[in-house]
Amino acid sequence: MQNGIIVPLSGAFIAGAIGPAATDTQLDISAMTFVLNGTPSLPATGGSGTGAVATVTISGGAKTATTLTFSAGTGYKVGDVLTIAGNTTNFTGSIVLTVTEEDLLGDETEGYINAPGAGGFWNCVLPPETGDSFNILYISQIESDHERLWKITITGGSSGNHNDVAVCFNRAMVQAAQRPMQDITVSGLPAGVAVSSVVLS
Amino acid sequence: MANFMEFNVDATDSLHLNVENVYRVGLKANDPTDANVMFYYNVASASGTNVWACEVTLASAISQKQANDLEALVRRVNKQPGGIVKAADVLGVSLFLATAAPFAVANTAQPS
Repeated sequence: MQNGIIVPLSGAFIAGAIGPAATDTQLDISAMTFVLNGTPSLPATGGSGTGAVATVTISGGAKTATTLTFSAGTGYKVGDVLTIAGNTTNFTGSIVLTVTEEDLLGDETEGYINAPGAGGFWNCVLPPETGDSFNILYISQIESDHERLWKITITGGSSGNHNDVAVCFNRAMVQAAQRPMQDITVSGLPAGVAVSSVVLS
Repeated sequence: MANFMEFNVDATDSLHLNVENVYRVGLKANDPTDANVMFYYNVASASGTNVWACEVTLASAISQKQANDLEALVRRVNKQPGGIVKAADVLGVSLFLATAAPFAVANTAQPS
């Protein structure tokens, strides 16, 4: 049996390009009609998030090379279907994107910090520090011969809320460590703070 | 289940250190008082004899006696699976953790 800490992620898009449409099956360009090469920035509608704007790169005189690069946005989930309507200058019709894990920061909708195996234990939360612009904190985990760090990257951290952020993760760590049959979800993060990714180093 | 020691970070909030495998608590410096307190862990070692410790940095210095009292708290909580003890019982409610890097975990030298 093993339990852990569930960390809801921000659901923001990665900075990298998605596509090209010719080979990336998550991009549906069947309703898109090429007009002119260009890189228009167009809003994405649909899905569970908000704020994503797609820079549509159309090149090569055809729609098959089309790629999308999103502004981050928030709240998007795997499986969301987003539509980018054409601007008529570069294309008409629409592009449809089905969001996959790889499109989102953290590679998933929620992070999971599982309790270490036999001989290891969560030790403490290392609060965000000024050297990381208060946007990285760690859960220290000691195992035989080494320390491992769960690196939690956030947005919205500051000198004014770094302890509040640490306290939220600390609360979840203590509860999860003391309730071995139960996953604990991090909650109560300060307003404006969201988690981008959780990785084990 | 893990056992924790609770440290105040301010008047309302706290952070916790897992002290389940801690066998010794002492001041970092060989001085009568120090703000840096070492918590030494008895951790299984795959090779060699590594000594793990967490350096807890407080906002102001405490005495050797207070460090000994913290160790007594550790021993007490480690007889209560899933327990939490408050460092404030020894340090007082107004002695907080340092605002920067209050915890630092490292492989360290054997305590003398």
